[in-house]
Amino acid sequence: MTTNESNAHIHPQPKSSLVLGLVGLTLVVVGPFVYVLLLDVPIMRSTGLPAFLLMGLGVCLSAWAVLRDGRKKIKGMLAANVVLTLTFAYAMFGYAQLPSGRGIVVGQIAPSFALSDSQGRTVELLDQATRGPTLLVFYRGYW
Amino acid sequence: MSELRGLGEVNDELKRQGGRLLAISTDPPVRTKKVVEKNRLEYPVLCDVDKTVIQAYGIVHEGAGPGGADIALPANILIDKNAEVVWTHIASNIVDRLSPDEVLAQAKEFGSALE
Repeated sequence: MTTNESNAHIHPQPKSSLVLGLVGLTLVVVGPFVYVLLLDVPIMRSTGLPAFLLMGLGVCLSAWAVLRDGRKKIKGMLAANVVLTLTFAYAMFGYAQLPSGRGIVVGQIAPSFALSDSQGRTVELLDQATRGPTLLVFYRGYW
Repeated sequence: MSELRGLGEVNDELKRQGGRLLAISTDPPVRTKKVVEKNRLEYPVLCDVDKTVIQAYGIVHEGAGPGGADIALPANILIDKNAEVVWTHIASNIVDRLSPDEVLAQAKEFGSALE
């Protein structure tokens, strides 16, 4: 026991730094998946909070690993983590951003239309709306 | 497309108030039919193939569809009996969707305001 402990002190710990780096990398990779799993929770969906927490922790761990052990392999992990995190941030706040300030606003009269459904039946908005509240859900489509 | 799942309850609530939910995309009927069948949707899913409706509602996302086609911005628009818009939610990014519960709460709130 005592010998092991003192050995650990004498030798640097290449293995544990590697593990630390790998744990960091895993957290960064898992982050976006956790984000997708939690899409139903509004605050998480719009801020990406859980993903950024995990990814931030991952970057910190791999940075710590580099401080302990400056081998190329471990530096590479830190670099990969930083790149992945920045890519995710860009995907979320850059690429995925939609044009804003568009669309009909509250108080306007909804333009009438007649469209066919998947069965070829025509639905007229005015005809429908006079019966009760109508919710239009526009979606991007299926591909 | 995933936002269409779980909206059955919202449709039921609107029906209780005499109304209905209508889903709309620029997909052709063939693809829309797949969406309806795959998700077993019980409300009409309409095909704005020539994009006149998304233009009229000001929610065109230019060139964002397959092959650079114009598609709809994800949007929820609630309309009252006089065809007046009473509530809207237009997505700010491609994953910004309301959960079915949030939409349901809105439909219920509107219903109770009428009573």
